[in-house]
Amino acid sequence: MSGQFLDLFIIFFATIFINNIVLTYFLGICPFVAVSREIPTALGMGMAVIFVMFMTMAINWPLNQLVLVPFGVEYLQFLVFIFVIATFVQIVEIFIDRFSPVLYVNLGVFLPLITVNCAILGVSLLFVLREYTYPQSLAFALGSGIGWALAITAMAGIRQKLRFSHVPKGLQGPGITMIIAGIMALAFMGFAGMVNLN
Amino acid sequence: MELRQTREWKIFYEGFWKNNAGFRMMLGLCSTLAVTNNLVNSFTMSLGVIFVTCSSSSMISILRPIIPPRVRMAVFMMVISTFTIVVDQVLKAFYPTVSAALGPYVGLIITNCIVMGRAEAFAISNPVFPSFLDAFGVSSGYAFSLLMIAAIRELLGFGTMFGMTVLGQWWTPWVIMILPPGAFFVLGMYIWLLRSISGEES
Amino acid sequence: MEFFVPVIVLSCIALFLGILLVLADKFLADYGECRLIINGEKEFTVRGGSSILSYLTANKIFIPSACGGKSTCGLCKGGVVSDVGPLLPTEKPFMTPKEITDKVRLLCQVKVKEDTEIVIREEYFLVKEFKTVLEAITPLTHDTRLFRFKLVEPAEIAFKPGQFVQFRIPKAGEERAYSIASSPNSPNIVELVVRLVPGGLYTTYMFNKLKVEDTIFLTGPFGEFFLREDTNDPIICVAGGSGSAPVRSIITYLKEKDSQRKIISFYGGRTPKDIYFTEEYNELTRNMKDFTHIPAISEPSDGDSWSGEKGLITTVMERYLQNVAGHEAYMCGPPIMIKYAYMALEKLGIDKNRIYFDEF
Repeated sequence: MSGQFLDLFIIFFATIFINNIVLTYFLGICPFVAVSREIPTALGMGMAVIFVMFMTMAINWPLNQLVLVPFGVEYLQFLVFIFVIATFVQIVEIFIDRFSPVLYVNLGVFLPLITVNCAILGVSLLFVLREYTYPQSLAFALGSGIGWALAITAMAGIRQKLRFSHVPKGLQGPGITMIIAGIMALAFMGFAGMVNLN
Repeated sequence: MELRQTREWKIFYEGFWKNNAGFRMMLGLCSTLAVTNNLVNSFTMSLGVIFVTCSSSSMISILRPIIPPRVRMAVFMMVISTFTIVVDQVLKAFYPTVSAALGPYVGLIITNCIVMGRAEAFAISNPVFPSFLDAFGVSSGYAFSLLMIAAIRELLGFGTMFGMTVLGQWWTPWVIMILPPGAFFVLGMYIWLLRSISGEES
Repeated sequence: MEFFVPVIVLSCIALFLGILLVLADKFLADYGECRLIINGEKEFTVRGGSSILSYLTANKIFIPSACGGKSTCGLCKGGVVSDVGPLLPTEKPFMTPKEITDKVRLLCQVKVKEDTEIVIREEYFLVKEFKTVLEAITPLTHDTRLFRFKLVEPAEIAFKPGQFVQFRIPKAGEERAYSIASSPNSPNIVELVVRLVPGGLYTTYMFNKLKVEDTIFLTGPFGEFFLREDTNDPIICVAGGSGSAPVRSIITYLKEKDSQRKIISFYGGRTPKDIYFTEEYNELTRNMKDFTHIPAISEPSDGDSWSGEKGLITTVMERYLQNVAGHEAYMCGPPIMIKYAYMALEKLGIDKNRIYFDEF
């Protein structure tokens, strides 16, 4: 049993640092560039992503395993997964609007953006390719979400500091964000030797 | 009327160059960074994106009169997903190596903001042929940016272009070009180059 | 048979998700009955969950709004007394710091979830929705037309010259504001001057689809830009583009009242083709006590037979205006024209508070 737990922990840990979903797999870059100007907004978006990523994985895995595979219609994965994501996000929006107006104001703007965040759909597609079990998929989703939130918050921290630096005109905005992301990716590559994930 | 002046050319030109998806609008970045470490993959992805964007924009434009406004996002997603599935299945069947190399990124064409963006911004309120042109312009502009980035990354990272050796044994490959940091740096450099040339403010 | 499997599976999943969504909407988004109290006078009981603006419109209280609730026009402002939560990011760009302290909100963004008290301008209570029929289309230039609407229900409109109405295309979510070009002394018609904007949603509709005898809904009157009648001081009018509309309303009204006020009116266009209402203004010049109309073109060319003023309207103004410190000024046109004309009028000594303008 402990072997299984260690396996899950390795997936979880590796996904946050070594195979970081943004810096290694380039998923969720558009919002990563767009929402990383200030730390509070970045954190808010990060939290929302973790939540949606985990929950949609929790739904998509059984849906794939129990419905799509038995009927031999795996090729419908794209359609089904994106539908689940869109519906889930919509329901979450209604839920938050009802029970926490404050949270809705802070988070609510991000929710429609999350539906097209390729990271969310990406993890659902990846678990299929990697043939993860249910616990593995959940660990993967949680790790991916946290990894994404970590990357975007770190980026926001750096960009906030960058406001007082002189950035060449052509690089301002997305240009310098790319360069910073590249340097961050380099840094994260340093984690590569820690765990061998095959 | 001269070709340059026609409305059709304008639609195409604006989509391809003026509002270039990859370099200026910052759309579809995920795929841009992921598949551009070699030209074959980039080329395949380009064709895939062009196909999905053009066919979904055209289809949505045809279906314009019967799409209820409240559920139009859902309809867009259905149409786009369906065409993406087609691309994915074709690749899996006829070009399995490329399909495996592209991995989940084919499916991610669905969330590529370009496709959804053209549907929402143009196809839903314009006739079929202009929608097709707009889609073709934007997606080929995107393809162009993919190929430009991949050219540098594959050349410097492997010494090859389209798998054929260009730079001989004397070239020590810049491995970083193939790795994630390289992707970010090359894209950043291109953005810098283009913005400096066109003298744009960010 | 195999063909149907994916269709059925997909449909079942879609159906299931759809049901979930409907349930969530029904049970979670149901806020019960709430009271909406306006200016402490009017009260409506509504089913909560939608924006304040939607309830106002449903109850025939019309406030300016052009974008259909997308928070892109910033026109639907009102004071919200009750606590409805912090200012939304969609509202922030449109609010001045004073408005924020005064609890002014965009009424299309604030939702009613419990009893809510708001304050709106008293004039909005006078705004009505008019069912009208298009009576005539008169071309004025190659890209500008005069549309005359006959009021059906209610049959008469009361407004001050200079105000505007909101025009709603059937089936469109948005509205557009157009100044009334006719005088309030003809209360059963409304004339609008519309200039074709290439690619513009509304003007394209009005030029290509709208036909005589079509039914159109107009809402109004709105606007802080109108003729002040508490004085007999001379008036300067400056107009450009379709800004001729409210100015025409003001001048025609004054003529019908037999006003003795001195009026000097400037109109700026680019070429002689863009100048209109020439016959009408010539007649007004003959029949009014002291009315002068000065059209000017800013792009003269050797071929045309223009004998009038040439140059930018602000330069032309300076040639004609001397000793005008006690005048009132009414301006309507593109923002850049307003900006320079405003500066020119200030330089001529006109009191800032007596310069009224309406910019597009």
